[in-house]
Amino acid sequence: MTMDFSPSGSTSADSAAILILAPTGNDGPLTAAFLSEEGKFALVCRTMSELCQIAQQGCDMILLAEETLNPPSIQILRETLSHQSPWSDIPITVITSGGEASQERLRILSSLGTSANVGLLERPFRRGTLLSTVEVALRARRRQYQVRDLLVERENARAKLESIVQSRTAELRDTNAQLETLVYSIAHDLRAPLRSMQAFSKILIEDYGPNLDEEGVHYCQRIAKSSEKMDYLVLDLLSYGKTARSDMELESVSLEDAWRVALDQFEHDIHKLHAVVTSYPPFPKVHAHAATLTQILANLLGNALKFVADGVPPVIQFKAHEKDDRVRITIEDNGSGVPPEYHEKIFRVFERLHRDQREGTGIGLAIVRKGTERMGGRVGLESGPPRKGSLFWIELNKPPTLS
Amino acid sequence: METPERVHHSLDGHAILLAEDNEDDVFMMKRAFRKAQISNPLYAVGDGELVLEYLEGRGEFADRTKFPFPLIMFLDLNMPKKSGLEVIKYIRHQPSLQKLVINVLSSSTRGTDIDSAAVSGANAYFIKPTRIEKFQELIESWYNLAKFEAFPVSS
Repeated sequence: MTMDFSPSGSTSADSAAILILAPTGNDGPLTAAFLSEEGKFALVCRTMSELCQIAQQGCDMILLAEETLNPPSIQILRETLSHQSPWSDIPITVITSGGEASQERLRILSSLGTSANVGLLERPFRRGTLLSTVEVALRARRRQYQVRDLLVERENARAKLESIVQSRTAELRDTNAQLETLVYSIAHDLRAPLRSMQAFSKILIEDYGPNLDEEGVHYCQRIAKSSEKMDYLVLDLLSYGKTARSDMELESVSLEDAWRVALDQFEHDIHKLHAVVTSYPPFPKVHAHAATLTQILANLLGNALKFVADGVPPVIQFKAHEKDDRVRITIEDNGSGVPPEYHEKIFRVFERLHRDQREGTGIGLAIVRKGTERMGGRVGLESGPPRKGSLFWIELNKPPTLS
Repeated sequence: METPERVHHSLDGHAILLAEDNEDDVFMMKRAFRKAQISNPLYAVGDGELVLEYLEGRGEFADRTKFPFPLIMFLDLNMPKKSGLEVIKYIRHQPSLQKLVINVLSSSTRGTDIDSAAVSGANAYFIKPTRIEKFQELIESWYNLAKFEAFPVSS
């Protein structure tokens, strides 16, 4: 526990408390009386323990006659001083008398070291000398009180600011949660009629197929396909929203694991398309959010498998190398490529390069960019002549090293 | 002749209640049951209040010969008046309804919904498939297991 060592009331010089400890005799009371005449409030203590007890409640300075100094009393004083608040450094004046005994006591005093703010006043002295010594000490003490008041003010301002930040953060979190719920329920409500459209067009084919001619069946299939596509769109939008908003705690993530999960998702397509996917280990760890990284890699892999000329088996290479404190991950394909003028555009939501003969919602690469940026990384591509196909790269930070 | 001790019910012939506000989904459920050749009688109610009315044999459902107490209920979470979760909580606090088997069938994939359903006392949670083929597959798979299942005797 720290004590304030400050008077509970005002800090003006009038009420300044000066604690005096003098050997038996009249020294103490006489000094106190003199200081009182000068408008100072002085209190004579009987023992060092009593002085220290009062000092803990608050005092402006301490006046000690050297005769009161001995190892036990110094010990009590040191203990009390060590409990001061950081701003407090009580001025102490020791009145000495010179001579052998004096030297010995002052040696004991030096054991206080730098923990005490001690000045000496040698007897005999004029009253004016004592008064000016006391004035200097009180002035220094007043400056300490000003520091204390500033510290309190600063602490109050900080606490106020902190509470404002806290309530704003809570409001934002609340709004975010409400928005998220709203988006979720909109998406949920949109998907239900889509499910019905899809289902009924299929039921129509299944149950009434024999009554429809080829064209009729074809129309039903187009209805089913469109509703299916819109469902993917809603799902991708939800996923984009999640990538853009959700809390993302970054940690050391195994790039190899994330890539393997992405590969597993496309196992069927890779097999069906006779794709050749080559990985070049070893893969360094990256500072990332595992689920987001996996989704980014899956989106890039999915594109590489999707956008190739008909009948051409996709050839995909996955590499990573370290560059300073970053890891550069590349996915290279033999696909149709992206003209340079579209390099920036394709990372925006709903931007697509290919017309409807290709599947795709125009959100996959937007998720790649948003996710990478939220993990403190960058994304880009190299494509266009003379390169055939595209090389998408993402740069992420290495995990911070534990020191 | 001594009647055999009724320890467990099998699924045979028992009513199944569909709590689902979306008529299209009710249609697809009924169609999936028909396609899977499940002959148990199906009853459908369209909101959370009606679910409780049916289960407690109140109002229009007072006649138990017309509206028999179900062995199993397929329950949607997103329903008017009383949500699926509220329905589950209510049922699990009613001694007479506690043994009802509740299978949630919802399109919600949210972890909080799945967790809350389990905590409130749902017996199973199925995510409504988007494609009708999968819907059919789900009902068939469920039935293939359920026909071997032993069910508690409802009071």
